[in-house]
Amino acid sequence: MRLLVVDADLSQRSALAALLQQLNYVSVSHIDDIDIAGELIHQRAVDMVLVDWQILQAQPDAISRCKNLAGQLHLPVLVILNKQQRQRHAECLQLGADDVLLRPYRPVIIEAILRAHSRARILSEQLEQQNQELKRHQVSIQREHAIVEHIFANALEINADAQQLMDFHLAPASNFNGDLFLLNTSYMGTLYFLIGDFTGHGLASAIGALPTAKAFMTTSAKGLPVEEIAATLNSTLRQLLPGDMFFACIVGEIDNAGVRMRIWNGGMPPLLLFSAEGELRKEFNSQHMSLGIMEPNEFERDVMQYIAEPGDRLLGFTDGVTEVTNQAGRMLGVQGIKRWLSDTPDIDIHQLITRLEIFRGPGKQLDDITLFSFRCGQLPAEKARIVPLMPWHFTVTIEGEDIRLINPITHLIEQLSAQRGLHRHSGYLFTILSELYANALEHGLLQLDSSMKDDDEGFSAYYRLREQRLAALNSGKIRIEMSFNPRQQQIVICVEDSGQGFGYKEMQTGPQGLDALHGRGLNLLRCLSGNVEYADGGTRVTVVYHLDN
Amino acid sequence: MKLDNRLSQDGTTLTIELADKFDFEMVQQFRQAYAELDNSVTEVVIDLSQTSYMDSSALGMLLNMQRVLGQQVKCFRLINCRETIRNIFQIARFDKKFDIE
Repeated sequence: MRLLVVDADLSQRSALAALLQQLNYVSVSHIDDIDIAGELIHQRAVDMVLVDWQILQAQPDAISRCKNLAGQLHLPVLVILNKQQRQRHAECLQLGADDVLLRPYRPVIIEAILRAHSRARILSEQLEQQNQELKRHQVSIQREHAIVEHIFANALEINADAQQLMDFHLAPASNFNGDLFLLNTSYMGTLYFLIGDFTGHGLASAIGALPTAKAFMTTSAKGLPVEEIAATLNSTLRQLLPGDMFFACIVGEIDNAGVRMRIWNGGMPPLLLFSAEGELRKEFNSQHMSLGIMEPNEFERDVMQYIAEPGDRLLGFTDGVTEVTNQAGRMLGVQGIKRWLSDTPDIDIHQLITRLEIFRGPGKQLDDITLFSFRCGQLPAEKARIVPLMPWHFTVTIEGEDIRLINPITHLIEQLSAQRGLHRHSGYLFTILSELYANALEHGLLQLDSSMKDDDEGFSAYYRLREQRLAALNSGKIRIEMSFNPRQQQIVICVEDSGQGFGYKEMQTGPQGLDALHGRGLNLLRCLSGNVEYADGGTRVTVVYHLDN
Repeated sequence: MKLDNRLSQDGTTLTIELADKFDFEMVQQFRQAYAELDNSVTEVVIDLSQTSYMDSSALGMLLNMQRVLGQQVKCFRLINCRETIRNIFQIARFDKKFDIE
C-alpha cells in the first residue's frame, strides 16, 4: 500500500510519515503540493492520499480532482483535521473525502482506519483486473465468432443455380443458426433439399451443420435416394453429436418435371402442399425420429411419395415459425399457416415473413426461423447441366489372354464419368457398352448361343458355359472405338471382334416378347441410342448415343 | 461385389439389396439369394438404392426369378430405383410385371 501525505507544513507531514512507518506502512512519501499529488495519481504511483485541511481550504476541489485522476479505480482520500478543525468533519465528507484522521493521532485508531480503506482499495484493484480480463476475453470471443461465422457463411452458401429453383428465408435468433437449409441438384438434374433444426440455437447447435452439409452435398450430387441420404446423415450425426443433441430434418427430392416428390421427414413440422388456389392437397407429416438418435441398424427408411400438379406449391418451415407467439400468448401453429395460405394463396416468402413479424408484435424472436417455398413445374434443368465441349476420340483393343483377365467396361465408365458433363450419362453408357461388349465376347468369340437362356436352368448354364469358355480363351481380339462430337452432342461407339460373326439378322427378328429371357439387349440398345448398325457379318456394330435424349 | 438378402420378421417378405452394379457377374449370387425359399414368403422386394449400373442380363435375372417363384410369390417390387434404372425398366416394359417404385 503506497501512501501519500500532502501537507504544506514540513514538520507535521514528517511526523505523520514517521508514524505511518511505525505502523509498518513501508512505502510512504510526503509532499507539500496537491498538483504534484495529481501527477503521482495519474501515474498510478499512489494507493491512498492523506491530505491536510489547510490544503483543502486553499483548493476545495483537490479531492474531486484526485478522484477523477484515479479513474475507475477507487482511490481513498482521507483528510487530516486538528482539534480546532473537528467541526469540519461533515464538510470534508461532502467534499468527497472517504474519512478523516484526527490530530493529535491515536495510533490504534489511525491503524484501524487505514486498514479499512486499504481493503477497499485492494477490492477495487481486483475488480478492475477482472474487468480487464473479461474485456480481453470478450474481444477474443468476438474474433473467434467472426472467423467461425465467415467459415459457416461460405460452407453453407447455396450455389447460385440451385438458389433460383426455390424461394427461401433464414433468420437465426443468434449469430449462429441452429436451423439448416440446403439445396443441391443431382447429376441427373433433379432437385434435392434439406430443411432441419438442431436442438437449441447458437454456436452449440450450429456445430453439426458443417458435417451435415458436407454429407448432404456429396450424396445428393450422386443422386442417392432421400432415405439413403437421411441414413448417411443419421450415422454421421449419431457418431458426432453429444447424447442430448439431435437434428430434426426433412430430406426431399423433386424430379426434373418438378412434380414427383420423395420426402423423408424425421421430427419436423409437416411439409405442406397447396394447390394454386390455396387448397391443402397433402401434408407430409413426420414419420421418423430425428437424426442422431437411432442406431444405424434401427434406422427406418420409409419415404412418402407424391405426384403434384404443376402450379402446386410446396411449403416447408421449422418450428421457429409455428411456435411464434403473439402478444396474447397464442401460438401460430401449423393451422395458422394453413389459414394464411388459404386466405392468400399467392403470398410469397417475403410477405409471409412480414406477416409473421406483425403476428409476433414487439416481442423478441426466440428461435431460429426458416421458411421455403417451391412452385411445382419443370425445373430449368439445362441451367444446372454442364454441356461437354471438348471433342475426343479413343480406341481400346483387348486381345489374347487379356480378354480373360480384364472387363474393360468398368474402366471405360470410370473414365467417361470423369469427363465434364458426362457423369449423368454413365448409367446409360454402362448399359450400352455392356451390351455391345457382351455380344462381341459371348457370341463373337465364345460362340455362345442365346437361345440357351430360354429357361431358368439354361440361363444359369449359359453363364457357367461363358465362364468355362472364357477361361480357355487364348486368342481373339475386341476393339472398342469411341468418339465424341460436341457440335452434335453425340458419342459414336463402335465395337468390333475377331470372331466369325453371328446371326444378327435372325436376332433382330428373334423373340421380342416380354417373357423372353434373351433378345432383350438389342431392344434396349435401340431405345437408348438412336441408331444400331451391324456390319461385316455381325462382327462390327456401331451405335450413336445422343446426350440430349 | 456384394448382395444382401434378408427376410422380414413375419417371414413373408424377402428383400434383396443389390450393390453399385447389377450385371452378369451377379448371376449365381442372385439366384442363390432366392433359392430354397421358405413357404411363408409371399412378397419379394428388390432394393436398388445402391445401384447405379445395370445391364440386360439383370433384366433376365429378374424375369427368371419371377418365373421360378411365380407360383408362390404374388408380389414383386423393385424399390428405390434411380432415374436411369427406372428408365431402363420402362424401356423393357417391366412396369407390366413388377411394381416399380
